[in-house]
Amino acid sequence: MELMTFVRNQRDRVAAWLAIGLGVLALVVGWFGVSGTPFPAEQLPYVVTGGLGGLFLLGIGALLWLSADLRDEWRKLDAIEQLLRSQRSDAAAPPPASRRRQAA
Amino acid sequence: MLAGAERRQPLWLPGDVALLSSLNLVAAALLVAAAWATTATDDLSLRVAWVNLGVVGLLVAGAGNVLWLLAGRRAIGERRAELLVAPSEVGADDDATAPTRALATMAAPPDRLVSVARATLFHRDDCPLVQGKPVTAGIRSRHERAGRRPCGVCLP
Repeated sequence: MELMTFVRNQRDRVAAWLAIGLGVLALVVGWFGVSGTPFPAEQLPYVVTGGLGGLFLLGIGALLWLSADLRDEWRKLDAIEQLLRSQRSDAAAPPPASRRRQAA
Repeated sequence: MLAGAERRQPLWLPGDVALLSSLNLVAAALLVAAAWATTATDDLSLRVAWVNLGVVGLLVAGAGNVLWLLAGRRAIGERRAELLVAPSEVGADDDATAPTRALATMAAPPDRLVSVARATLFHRDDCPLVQGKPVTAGIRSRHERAGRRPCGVCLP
C-alpha cells in the first residue's frame, strides 16, 4: 500500500529509474552480443541496439529525474509566493472589531 | 476580488513540451531505422553508415533533453529573480543573519499577472476584462515568452 502511494507521488522518479534500469540492461545485452562474435559486421547491430539504444534510455532516465527535481523547486517557489501573498493580504486587512474598540 | 477559477502556470510551456517530444520522437525513429538497417544488410561499410545515423539520432535526443532542462532552469531562475530581490538592493545590514536578510528581501511579491487560455494578452488579476473567467497566473517573463502582450486596460 505504501509502495503504491510512493509510486503515485513519485511517478516521474519511478519512471526515471525504470528507464535507467532498461538502459543498463540494454548496454549489458549489447556488450554480451558484441563480445560473442569476432566479426565487426556482426557486432554493429549490437552496438546500435544495445549501445546507442541503452544510451538513449539512460538519457531519458536522467531527463526524467532532473525534471522531477525542477518541478519540486517550482512547487517550492509556488509555496513561497503563496506565503508572501497571504502575509501581504493579512497586513492590508483591517484589524478585528475588538482591537479597534480597544484602540478607541 | 480575484479573477475566476485560477491555476498556476506550469513550469514548461506547451512549446517546450512540443520541442522535447518531437526531437525525442525523431531520435527514436532514427535509432529504430538504424537498428533495422544494420541487420538488413551484409555490407560492412553500409552497416557503419547506418550506425552513424544512429549516432545522429542520439545527438538529436541529447539536444532535445538539454534544451528542455535549460528551459526549466531558466523559468525557475526568472521566477526566483521576481520573488527574491538581491540583498544589496534592499540595503541589508552586514551584521544581519542570513534568515533575517532573506525575510527582508521577500517583503514585496510581484504583481500577479494572469491570462485566459489561448488569449494574446496578459492582465493584472483585478482587471475587469478577466473577472469571472478561468485564468492562469504567471510571471511577466513567462507571459512574454508565450507571445502575450500587456493589456491596454489594466496596463500590467
